[in-house]
Amino acid sequence: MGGLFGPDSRSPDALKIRVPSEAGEIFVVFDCGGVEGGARRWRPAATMIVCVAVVGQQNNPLYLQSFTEADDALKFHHIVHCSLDVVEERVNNPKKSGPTLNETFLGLLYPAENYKVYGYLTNTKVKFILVTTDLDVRDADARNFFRRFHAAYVDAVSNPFHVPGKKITSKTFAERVTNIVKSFGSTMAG
Amino acid sequence: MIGTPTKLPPIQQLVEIKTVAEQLHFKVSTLLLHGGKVVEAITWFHKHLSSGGQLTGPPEVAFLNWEWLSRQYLVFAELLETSSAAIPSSVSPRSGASDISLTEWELQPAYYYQLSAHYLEKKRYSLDQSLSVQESSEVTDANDSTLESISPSIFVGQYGRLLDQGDTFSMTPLSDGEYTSYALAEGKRYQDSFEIIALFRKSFESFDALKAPRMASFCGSRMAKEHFASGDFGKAKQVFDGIASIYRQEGWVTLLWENLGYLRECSQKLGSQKEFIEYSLEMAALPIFSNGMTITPVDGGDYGPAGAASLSQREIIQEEVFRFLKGETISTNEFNFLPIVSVDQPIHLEVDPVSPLRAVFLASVAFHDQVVKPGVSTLLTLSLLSQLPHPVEIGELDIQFNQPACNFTITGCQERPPASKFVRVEEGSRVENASVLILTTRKWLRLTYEIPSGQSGKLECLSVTAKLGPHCTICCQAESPASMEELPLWKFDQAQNFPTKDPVLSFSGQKIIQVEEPDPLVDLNLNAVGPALVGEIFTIPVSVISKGHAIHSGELKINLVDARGGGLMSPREIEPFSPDDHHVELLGVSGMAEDDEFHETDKIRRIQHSFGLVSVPTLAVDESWSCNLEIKWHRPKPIMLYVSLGYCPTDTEGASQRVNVHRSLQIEGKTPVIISHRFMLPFRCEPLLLSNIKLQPEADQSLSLALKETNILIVSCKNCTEVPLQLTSLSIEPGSNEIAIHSVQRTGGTSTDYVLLVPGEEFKQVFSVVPQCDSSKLGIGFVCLNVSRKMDPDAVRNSSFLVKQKLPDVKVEKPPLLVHIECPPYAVLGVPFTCYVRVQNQTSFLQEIKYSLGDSQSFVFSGPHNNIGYVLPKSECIINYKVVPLGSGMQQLPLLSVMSVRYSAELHPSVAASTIFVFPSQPHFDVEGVSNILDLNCQ
Repeated sequence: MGGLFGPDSRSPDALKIRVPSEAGEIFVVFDCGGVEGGARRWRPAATMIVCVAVVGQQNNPLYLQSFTEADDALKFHHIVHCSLDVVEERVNNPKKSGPTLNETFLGLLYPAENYKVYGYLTNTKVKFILVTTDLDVRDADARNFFRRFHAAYVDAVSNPFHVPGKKITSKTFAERVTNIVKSFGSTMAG
Repeated sequence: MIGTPTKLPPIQQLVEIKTVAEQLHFKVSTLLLHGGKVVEAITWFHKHLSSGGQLTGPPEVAFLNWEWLSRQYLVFAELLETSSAAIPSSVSPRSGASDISLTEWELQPAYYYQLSAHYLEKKRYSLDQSLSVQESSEVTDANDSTLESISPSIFVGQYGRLLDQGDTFSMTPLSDGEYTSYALAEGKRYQDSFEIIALFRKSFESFDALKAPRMASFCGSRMAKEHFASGDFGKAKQVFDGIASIYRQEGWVTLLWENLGYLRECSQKLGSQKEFIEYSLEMAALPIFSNGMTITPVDGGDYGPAGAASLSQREIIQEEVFRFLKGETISTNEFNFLPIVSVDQPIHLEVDPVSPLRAVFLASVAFHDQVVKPGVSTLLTLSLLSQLPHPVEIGELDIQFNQPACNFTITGCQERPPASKFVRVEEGSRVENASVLILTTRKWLRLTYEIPSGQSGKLECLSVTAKLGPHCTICCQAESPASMEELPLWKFDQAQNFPTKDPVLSFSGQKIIQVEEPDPLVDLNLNAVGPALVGEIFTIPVSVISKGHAIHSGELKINLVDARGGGLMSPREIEPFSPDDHHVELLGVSGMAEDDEFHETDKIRRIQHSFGLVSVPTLAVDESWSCNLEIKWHRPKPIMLYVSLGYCPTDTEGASQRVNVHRSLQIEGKTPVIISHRFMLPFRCEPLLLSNIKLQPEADQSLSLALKETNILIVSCKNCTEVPLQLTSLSIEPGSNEIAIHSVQRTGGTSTDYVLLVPGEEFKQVFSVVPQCDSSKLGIGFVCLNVSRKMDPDAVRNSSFLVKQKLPDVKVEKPPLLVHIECPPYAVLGVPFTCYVRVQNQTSFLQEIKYSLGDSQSFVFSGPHNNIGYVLPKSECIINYKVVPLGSGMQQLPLLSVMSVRYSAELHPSVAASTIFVFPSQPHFDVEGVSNILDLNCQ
């Protein structure tokens, strides 16, 4: 008897498993009751993105958020900073990276230890960096993620009170990014 | 491993599997790389790692897995490096047969070296943990002796105990416990640190060569950490120092913080006071990178010796370093290598515009004015900014200028020992008091003071030195607000206020002020009258009148400049020097008051064609001095005359400043007279000049004169100036190199003695010119005119000058025929008279002439209308007509025409020549009266 399962988008703390049977469908609901450990164990996709970052035109960090429990922000600073070398290399030698004229998505930048680093370059030379633990991310998913992330960034810097070039401290932006990161998991699972 | 003959325990089996896998992988990779199949080799390597790397085994031997991984990376890196020559350059990371896309770095050995080092680090960490577990359980000692007999067996990846059984050796299998102890004991024997450093160094250098500075700095930083951990602080500091710049440049403050934390620790360990202070101050003034959410760093995270970057940590560091600056020791460390800051070990920090310490102490200096008069004081605002989290109290501020006389010191009011103040007063420097000398974080401290302007020229604030402790000073180069660069890391966190009270000054203020020259109290007058005339020596009186300043070592500089530009020299400058090349020339300076002392000593007098330098004698207040500049114009040209007087108001040289007075005057050079001339033939005498007949279009248009005949030359000169001129003489100077002799006579005109020409008036003089030789180009000579200005009767000098103009060359030829018409001066109505036409043949040929006389209403005549005559060589023929006038008044004689057949030339006398006055009756002249009148005229 096979089972399909997926997280219920309405209540993140509850997990509903649909079991097909002769008599119809039986829904088995695991209520995790807000217990973190329980919820996380069933949500591998949510922990897939470990870090996102926005890097400015002068390669200065504008935003960096890690999504891990451990206090390893420094490590991600290093990973994101190192990935800028690849971005520069791709921008300076566009031939090597194939038919990517006017392509903002830079693809996999480099595999680092247990992570994979993806890049995205806007027309204004702002870079978005994504660090994942997943070893097999589909390009389409990464593109989709960056597209939404870009939209969120554009909204954040369109704020008249935002100074261009200044690091992004908007809480709304941070919340939106967290949501995008979370939904990245759900699209993967679905 | 199916079908293994011996049943190995799990750990050893794992080790064996991995060893065998390693061997096979090595072979496969080598083969693939030799075949140039790089992408396949890398894909294979990933497969190999993913199958082998997950088999970690029990935790006490986890280090074996890390060691194995590290070795795989190292071996593959070396394989890749050695076969890199065989790799075709066309291999690009994203192409290739396989679907798996590779990134740029996966083709680089440096990437594998770095990971090899990383896993070796992990191995060491894991080994240390296993060892500590082992030590705590204290089960090792028992097996120490037995461990020595363990060695690798003949089978790959297997170990056994070598048993000495007399003559033979036999291998007995080991238990996992024994093997673990053996592996730990082996692991202890190696110093992984060197290996890690070597691997990181290799990847650091390779990434650097690949122009991947960030990756290189990451490897460098890990290498330096390894140095640090092994106690080699000197090397660690050197590497950390090298990579800090890229973090500073791109504003990765979190990474910089970690880096500086290590550097600070290294300099402390190395006992370098100054660097310890610099790094501490830089850290304390570093912004914290956050996403707007407060992050509470978890303890135990690997943040280096400085801990995680946070405001509280910055405050702690600042407090610590300021305690240290005050002479206290750093209490936190048990091994303190830092010497205490004291009189013997004072600290002096320099902050220049590129120093990272600008965030700690930034000095901006703005003068409120751009220029200032000497002796007048001006306002200066000194602004100081610090990004340190705690307020900083400054003991004393020293402000230095490029003119040391302006330097001053600002002290805080509260603590100023009177003794030191006394010393300062003795030194003569200025001391100002400020109520508050405390720098609050991110707020400009503004201090405004009056500055007495120094010597004329540039007054620039150079630096501001703050005294932070009894033995510590920080010297900051002063920056102009207008050109001040933002603090790179604090670019978007502006200070709360402007550096100066006036916001305009905050954007335009300068640390430089121009101190003007003192106002001259001397009058310099140039009194030129009217335009100068070409040829005359024009004098311009210059007077220097002291009106409050004495003049010492004065110098008068004279410059002539073409008012329209283009210079005063003629285009033929390269040619040897001659005065004619100069259109306008400074001839000299005259009329200086004779002063013997002055003559002997340091009289400077250099006169060149357009430049002059004359020294002015020492003049007391209210004295004056004057001279005349003599300038000669060779061409009409306007010039600008610049005269500047430089002097010292006081006698002492060096200390006082030179004062300069400048005057300029535009003077027009004008041609005084326009000389024109005209040649005429004698009345009723017509020579046949062949050159006039031949109408050659390209022939030169020079005038032809008949040889040995009298020609009339009228020279007229017109005064074209605006002043009356006096003509002294007008003459023609025959051309010097002419062979022909021609007599020039003055035959008419008024007497030239003191002829006065008012502006616009014309004067004429008549000469007769008789050319004596046949020449196609005969120089007549020059018209020489002696002119002078009409001066006032009381003028001292009435200098006349010569105006010379060359007359054009003429052509002289011998006329073959000459026709004279001879008529009485007048006729009386009805009274017949005879008119002769005399034709002279000057050639040696017989000349045939045709002549005719037309009818006229006013005259009847006798003789043929047309006729032909012959003139013998060198003789003449006379044709006469009897003519009776029929009308009175000015009457035209019958039209005469003489034609030379030989030359096909026809002569028609001019209307003037064939006009005669006819009296109605015989006039009665009072001959006596006329003679009287003539007599009077002659006198």
